Amino acid sequence: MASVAITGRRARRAKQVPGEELVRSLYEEHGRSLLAYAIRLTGDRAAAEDVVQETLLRAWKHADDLRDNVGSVRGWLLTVARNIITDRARARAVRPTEVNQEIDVPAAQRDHADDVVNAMTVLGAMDRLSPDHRAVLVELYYRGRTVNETAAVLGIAPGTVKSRSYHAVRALRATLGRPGEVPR
Amino acid sequence: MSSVEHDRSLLGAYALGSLDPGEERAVHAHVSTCPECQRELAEFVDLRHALDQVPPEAFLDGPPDGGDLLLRGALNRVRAEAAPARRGWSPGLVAASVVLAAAVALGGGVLIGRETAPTPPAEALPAGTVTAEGTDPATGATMRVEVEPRAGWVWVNAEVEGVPAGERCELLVVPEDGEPLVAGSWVVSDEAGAEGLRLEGTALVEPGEVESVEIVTTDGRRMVSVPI
Repeated sequence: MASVAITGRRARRAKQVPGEELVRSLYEEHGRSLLAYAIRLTGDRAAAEDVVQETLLRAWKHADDLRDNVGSVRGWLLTVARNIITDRARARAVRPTEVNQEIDVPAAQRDHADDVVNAMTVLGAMDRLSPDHRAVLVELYYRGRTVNETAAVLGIAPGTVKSRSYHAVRALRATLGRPGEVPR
Repeated sequence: MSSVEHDRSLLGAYALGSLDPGEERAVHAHVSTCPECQRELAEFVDLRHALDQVPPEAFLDGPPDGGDLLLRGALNRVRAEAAPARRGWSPGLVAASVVLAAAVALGGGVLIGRETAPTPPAEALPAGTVTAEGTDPATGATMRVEVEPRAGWVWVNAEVEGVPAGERCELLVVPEDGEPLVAGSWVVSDEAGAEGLRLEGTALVEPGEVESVEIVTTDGRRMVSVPI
């Protein structure tokens, strides 16, 4: 036992909790989006709220990542939420055969790394569109509205919706590069 | 019926599937005869794959409905992580479990569940074993680690707590010079997330040259790093 020395190499930091404001502002800005997404994926509001809380916690832990991330903050948060849900589902699926905590999962099995990049970069690219172009794209594609419905919602002519959608798609295409390349 | 003349501005809405059926048929008919439109359309259709990476919920804004309970829960977690109230970490218990880990390692290397009862030391650690502990203030993860010297390599025993269930992790041995080596990888189960986990690994690093031992998630987030 003489050779055993227990050393606390890192002092724990003071009790103040910096970054609480970050969590609040992320919640105010992205909470609805995150919760709706998590509810759809889990089918369970309580589980979804837990996922959102865990996501906000991770955002707080990785504030540097969040700030340095080239894609959008929203994309980062949604991706983290999805990863939490996926990993929990996998953990549940694996558990029946899991007797001990063995070291047996190759890192290569983490298969959503590419999607992670894509979701964040696509949203990041959309954020760089002009607000007019972005709005048309969101209404047409993500809200499933027709050209005429989009025209009514945005208060513009149907012809304008069409031409903006064309320019939006072209601009996005130019930003994201060729398919198959993972944009960085 | 190629009734649509060459009007590329329709291609965006067409690629997005947003035209009404009549227009869509007309554009389709035109595109089938127009190589230039075909080329552009092919690029736009590829783009849909990228757009599909983003869920429609990405375009909702503001806080969730239904009050701030969710926010309060998140803040509570943040505070709990920032000031972890860890029980059962008195030096005596720590020493006992470290010795136990060594006993398990020397006894053939089969992992067993985490023991909480102090057990009499079966064998002392090999001479030259370096023991260290660290807690990452940001993640709240804690690792106690023993680095046992071998001839030209090291045996690593680690006890890890505070890594959330579901995380996919690697145990890295970082040499003073050179790239970190993976001494093991695993996914944190619910039990291990709640109660901690014991790991063993080996790395081809000279015993005197280990700079640190780390837990890093497979997507690159460092959970805890313990200098040796």
